Amino acid sequence: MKTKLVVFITLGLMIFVSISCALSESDWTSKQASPNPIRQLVGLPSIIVGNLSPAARNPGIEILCTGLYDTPGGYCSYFTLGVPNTDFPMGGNFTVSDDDN
Amino acid sequence: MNCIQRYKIRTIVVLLSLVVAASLFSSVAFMKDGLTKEGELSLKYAPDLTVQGISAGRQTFIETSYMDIIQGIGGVREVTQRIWGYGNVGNTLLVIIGIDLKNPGINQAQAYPIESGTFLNAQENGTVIIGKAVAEVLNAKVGNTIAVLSETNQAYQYQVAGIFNSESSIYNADMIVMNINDARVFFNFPVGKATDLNVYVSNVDPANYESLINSVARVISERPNVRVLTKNVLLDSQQTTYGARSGFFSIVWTVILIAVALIAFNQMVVVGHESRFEVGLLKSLGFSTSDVIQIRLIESATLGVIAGTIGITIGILYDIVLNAPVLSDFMIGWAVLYPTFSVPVYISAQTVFLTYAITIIPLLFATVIPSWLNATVDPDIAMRGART
Repeated sequence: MKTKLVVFITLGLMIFVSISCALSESDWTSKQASPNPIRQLVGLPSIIVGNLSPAARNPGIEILCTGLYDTPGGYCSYFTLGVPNTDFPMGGNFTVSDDDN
Repeated sequence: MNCIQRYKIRTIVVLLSLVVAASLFSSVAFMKDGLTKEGELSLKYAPDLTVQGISAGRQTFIETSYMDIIQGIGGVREVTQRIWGYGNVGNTLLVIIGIDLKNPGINQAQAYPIESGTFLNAQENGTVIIGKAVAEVLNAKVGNTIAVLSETNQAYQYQVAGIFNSESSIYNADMIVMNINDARVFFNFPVGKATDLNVYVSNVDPANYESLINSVARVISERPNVRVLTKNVLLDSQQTTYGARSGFFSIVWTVILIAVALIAFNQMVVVGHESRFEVGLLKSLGFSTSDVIQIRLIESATLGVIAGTIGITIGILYDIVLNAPVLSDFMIGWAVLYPTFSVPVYISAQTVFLTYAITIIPLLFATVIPSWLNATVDPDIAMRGART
């Protein structure tokens, strides 16, 4: 009897997990598929909204964040890692030649 | 199942430890996936390039005169300006976004998700649209006037023209959208300056998109005092942020898992001694050593599946029903400063399977040596030893 109960409860929970997973997957898929004019209009990643204000940061984590300030899309302390990865070489020739001599 | 029930102490100890480990891991992983997904979704609609002003290495205003220069670069479709920042309504910190309504950079024919009232009018100043959750916090309705305190300690009043209900709970929770002229006055921005410029490039073949972005970014970055951010950089920074944040929890979780594995090892050794008669009996009936090890491993796998299932269920309920108290503060920031909102949660099949895998596999590893020691015993000695 106990064995059956454990099996039923486990199966029930597994079904709950599966349904939650399926619902979540379909919810995000439909979010991705539908156009979102507010997101387009604002043009800011929503997750940073409310997070980039220095007052709203968690100082325990953001203690290193002093140099780069607000950047749309991420916390500045981590952004220092991202900036050098911007893959576009600087244009122009920076060598100064002294042709007058 | 009978073996699991027979050794109750072992079962309870291992099950409890595994449930704690699985629920902690799954709740953080679901939240991290949700936040990353939310970021990806917004970045899909973000401008191709964001141009900021830089002065002495610090981000500052950008000259709007750059708009004409950038517009003249080949491959650029549109350039818009944006003014945004933060303001207080009472004790609530809100994000204020000023939009250039005459040139918003998107297709105006699209319907905004306005729940009540209307969208902003380009010709009208002094009006705002606010998120649904903001309206609830401020108890504001369409037509009401809200007062927002600026950094100059002046309270500016705006009439609520509409309330939007975006599918993003974060947008709804702390955003006020207004005309860029109003935002300029509110933030006391000098004429000819903006927070940043949004650059949209022409539609090109996806294969050529990166090279177009890089070439436009290169030309812009030749201008003095500018920093150019691409979508990829923004996405990388978000993923790094949440990866690192969940990484802190991964460390805690790994320590817990090691502790669980040690507990499981210990319990299996104890059970091994207690079950000597049982093993001896099985071996005298013709079961081989590998059969006995298999039985022990099946027991552990069953225990892992039960614990993983309970742990994931707790993780889901903790994130969705309880809105992830404590952990969401860590992942998002100070929750007290902005209105409460439901944390984006993404219960992906991948994370569910990963949770099962990391719950079951270490338990199997912790079980295999005690099982082997237990199974290699001589049946006669085992049965006599167990009886004496």
